[in-house]
Amino acid sequence: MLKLWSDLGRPRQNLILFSVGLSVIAGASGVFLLGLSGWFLTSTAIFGAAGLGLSFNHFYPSSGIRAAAFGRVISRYFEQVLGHQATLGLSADLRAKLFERQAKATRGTQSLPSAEMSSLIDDIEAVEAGFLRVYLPIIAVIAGCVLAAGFVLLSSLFSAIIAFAALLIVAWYLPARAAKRSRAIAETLTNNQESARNQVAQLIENAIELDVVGALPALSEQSARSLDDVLEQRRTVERPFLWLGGVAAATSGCVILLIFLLADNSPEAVALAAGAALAVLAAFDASGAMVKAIDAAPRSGASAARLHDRLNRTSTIQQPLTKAEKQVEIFPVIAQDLYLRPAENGPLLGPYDLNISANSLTVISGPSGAGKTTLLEALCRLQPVEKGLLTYGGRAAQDWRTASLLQAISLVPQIPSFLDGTLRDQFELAKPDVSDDEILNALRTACADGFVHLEAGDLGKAFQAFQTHYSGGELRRISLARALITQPQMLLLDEPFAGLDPITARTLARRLEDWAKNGDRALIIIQHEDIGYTWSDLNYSNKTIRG
Amino acid sequence: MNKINNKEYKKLTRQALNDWSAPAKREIGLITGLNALASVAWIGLAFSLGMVVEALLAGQDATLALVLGAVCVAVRAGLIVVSDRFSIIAGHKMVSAARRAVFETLTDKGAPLIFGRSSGERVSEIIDRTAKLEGYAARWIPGMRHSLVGPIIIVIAVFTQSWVAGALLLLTVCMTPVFLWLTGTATAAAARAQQDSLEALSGAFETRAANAGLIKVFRAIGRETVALQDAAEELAARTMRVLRYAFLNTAVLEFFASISIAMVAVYIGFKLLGEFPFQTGETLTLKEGMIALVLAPEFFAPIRRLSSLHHDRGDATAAAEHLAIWLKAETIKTPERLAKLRTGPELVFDRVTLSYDGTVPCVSAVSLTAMHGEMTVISGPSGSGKTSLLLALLAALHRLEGDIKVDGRGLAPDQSLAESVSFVRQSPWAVEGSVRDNLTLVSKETDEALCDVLIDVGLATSQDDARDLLDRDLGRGGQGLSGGQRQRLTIARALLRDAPVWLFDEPSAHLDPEAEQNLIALIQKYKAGRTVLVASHSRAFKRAADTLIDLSRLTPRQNDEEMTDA
Repeated sequence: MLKLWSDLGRPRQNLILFSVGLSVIAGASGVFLLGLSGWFLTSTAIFGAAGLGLSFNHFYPSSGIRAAAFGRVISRYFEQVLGHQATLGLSADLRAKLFERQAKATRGTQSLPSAEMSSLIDDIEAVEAGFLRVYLPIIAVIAGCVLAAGFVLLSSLFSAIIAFAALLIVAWYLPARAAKRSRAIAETLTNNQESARNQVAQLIENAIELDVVGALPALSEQSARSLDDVLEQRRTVERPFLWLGGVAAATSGCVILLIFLLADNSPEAVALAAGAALAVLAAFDASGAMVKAIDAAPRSGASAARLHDRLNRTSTIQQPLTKAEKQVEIFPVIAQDLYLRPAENGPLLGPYDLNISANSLTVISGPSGAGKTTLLEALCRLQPVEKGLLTYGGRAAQDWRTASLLQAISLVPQIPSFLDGTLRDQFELAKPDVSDDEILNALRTACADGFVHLEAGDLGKAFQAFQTHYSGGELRRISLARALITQPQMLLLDEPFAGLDPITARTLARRLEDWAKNGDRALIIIQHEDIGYTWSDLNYSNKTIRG
Repeated sequence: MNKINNKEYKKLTRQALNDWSAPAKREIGLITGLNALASVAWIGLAFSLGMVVEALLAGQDATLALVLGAVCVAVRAGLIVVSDRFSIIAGHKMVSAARRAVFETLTDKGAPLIFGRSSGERVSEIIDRTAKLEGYAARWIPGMRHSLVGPIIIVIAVFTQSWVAGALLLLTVCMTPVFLWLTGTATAAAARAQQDSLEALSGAFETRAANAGLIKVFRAIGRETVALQDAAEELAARTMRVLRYAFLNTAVLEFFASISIAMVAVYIGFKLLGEFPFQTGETLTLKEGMIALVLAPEFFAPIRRLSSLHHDRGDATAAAEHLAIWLKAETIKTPERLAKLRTGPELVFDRVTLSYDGTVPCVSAVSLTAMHGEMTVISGPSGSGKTSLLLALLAALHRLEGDIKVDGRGLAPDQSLAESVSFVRQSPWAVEGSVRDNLTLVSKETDEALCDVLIDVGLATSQDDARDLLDRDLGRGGQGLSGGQRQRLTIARALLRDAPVWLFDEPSAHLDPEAEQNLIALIQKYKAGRTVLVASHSRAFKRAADTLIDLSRLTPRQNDEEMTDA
């Protein structure tokens, strides 16, 4: 947890310290309130019984009780407010940082697998809960226990030692042991949970097939049973914790018994013993919160460790630490005996050879799985060079800042993807200060001016990739227009003509050719089928690659 | 209209909460009883403490009272342990009931139940949403009951000691409905706001993390990081505004409870000192005062605990509403399954337009014919609707326009050929268990028949070999068989079902060229008498097709006219 916090640069230090301080006050004032009340009442009774009511100074103790009551309510309130504020703030920092590191470490344009994404989000949530549900309660309980031991000390040294030891055992040792024991089972539980989840996922993913063959009822029953089994196992895991509450209550009874037994019979001692007893009662009561906290601690600790690793994962693309250059000359782009690896543990693909200069068109074809998309991703530095040579303008790829190169290179992936926002936001992702004219030109080149109408305010309309009235082919052309916005020297297109009818495909080809020719640019296109267009104005070359 | 729906949703939600918590009825009853007994044990503790103090001051032996107190504490602890245990069971029973309701509906209505959302979302609905119901049966219902029963038991005990202290407590309890309402609405609102904002934040993070490659290409990592940070901070600020209000309400409740306890304490204190200025008609001994005072916090404890349980109710209600609306949706139409055909039919699609959600078409005006005894391959780029055309035969999506004819007879949009179909996807399903389990799920046959089929599809070479295979245990998703073997297993299933229509959706996506050729050969071997439709963009399948239908050449787009000039 601390490591993760320093990864983030130790933000919101004051807020965290304040809420920790308030936690101490809240925990202590709860115990103080009961302890003082117990002593005060017993004393008043003793004095009252002796007919000395008037001589008893009840102003200081009663104002102390009032202060403790107010202090508890107020410090609880501010502890919650500041604790949540710190947590929400930290989670903002954490998410931003995680995204940044994640983005730098990804390969290609493939998104994270959904399982990894959901476990990442689970981790983030476990860590967020850590501070609020683990650290603050533990601090409050410790403060309360120390104070309760202090109260008992006023009554008898021996009782104090016993009370403190009992608190230590009940609030710390036993929960920690139970947590350790349940962690051993928890691992199997996690595995079973995961496998029951997979079973349900399989059922859902194959629901149509299973429905067709009539296996849906049997497999539904199986899934329901697996999920029930997991619930049952969870009960086994939680059982050791259950007894802790009982042990705490029983121990508190014994300690109170001891305090009274060891107290003298003098009125002052009885009053002190009553105060100590109530303080101990309050401390043991509060220690119930420890059980949950200590149970959750390893989980959020493990999540924090995973996120720490993730934050410190080295970027896959090695690059020099120089500043990005303003003007870059990337041609010729040469690949020689280039080998790539589409995933960290994936197979090695290659060798690839390419020679790309301005005013050229390279069509890449080959069977699926040969690594066409991986090659395009490598050309825009989304994939590291595993072996071989990749140079831009005579300089090895590794000696370039990726940011410098990407000024001059753009990619249109096969499956278009967008961020939530307006249509204009999509273009602003490529260029934050983009003008309407630039957008219009790009839309025209991408054959997207037929269905995006600037004058109708289409740019300002909400645009979400999954809920839009644009068809798949239209989204693809919008994605192409977005790539054109950056005016790249080299444009990489993954199946740009797929799904287009021949006439539109040829129109798009013509417009792309004009765009490339007029700016001394290079086009690299992955294409499965011939669209019946002759590229006459560019140096055409065809590259077939094999897996 | 909307209001009626809202009312109906609420009714559905209540109904669902009642139905699903019903199996835990016994546990909930036990918890209520145990909690009431725990309150009685607390009363015992209070009495013994009073006796101890009195005895000690009088210089008498207090051991008996002390032991009584210790017993009460121990009994109370035991009761709480047992009640906690039941509460976990109750929660789990409710979760389990809700999950079973989902699975039963799935069995009833079939695959159409899961349409409309991604399978990931459906899985999380079945597992994670239902898990949110746990707190309702485990904590909320028992907590609510105890907040009624607990204070009554305690206040009666207080009255036996001091009617003024009892009256003071009763006075404040009259205000508890107001507290409850205040904290209830506020805490529920806060919980919802926090949940929503966390979800939105997760969403914002998720889309950005998912599009990391794209953002990198546009050199926008820095910009998007800042945007993410800003969005998160803004959401944090918004959540804080709501939370502050909710915490304030809790603080007010705590404050009133403290004030009330303090009033009792002050009254008892002054009374004992003999300085209380008014006549109250009672003389209070230290014992009585002590008892009343120890009882006072326990009077408020159930109410305070309840206020911290509102998020349990909020979470559960939201989950129940979501699930009930899903399961009870009337738009889920189970298609009518036509009787099994004896031989492969001629399938004709005439200008068929299909849609997943009922509005946006995924396939527009496609016409094609698949002949009996032939392998018809539908090709086209991903997203061009190959799969949709296959699903149309199962009525698994909306048909907006066009006709489908089966041997000349029309197939209505809600009629399905499921009984006659074997449908195979790129990663065929397999259940954990033996190969026999995987085959008999489809059709109960003798081992001999199963072995014959295994040999037939080339999974085994001899009867002995086949018998060994039948007993072989497969892991999840068919682990233990290669991709090609899994496809053979699906063919074996199709043969066992004797399905006259075979639908394949990208069957060779995970196969190497050799396995692909084997699969094609196998299909060729069995296609006589059947109608085989394959959605694939693989070259090998296209070459082997008896009829090839290329969707990328079929679909004319409407905005062509304006582009022809360019």
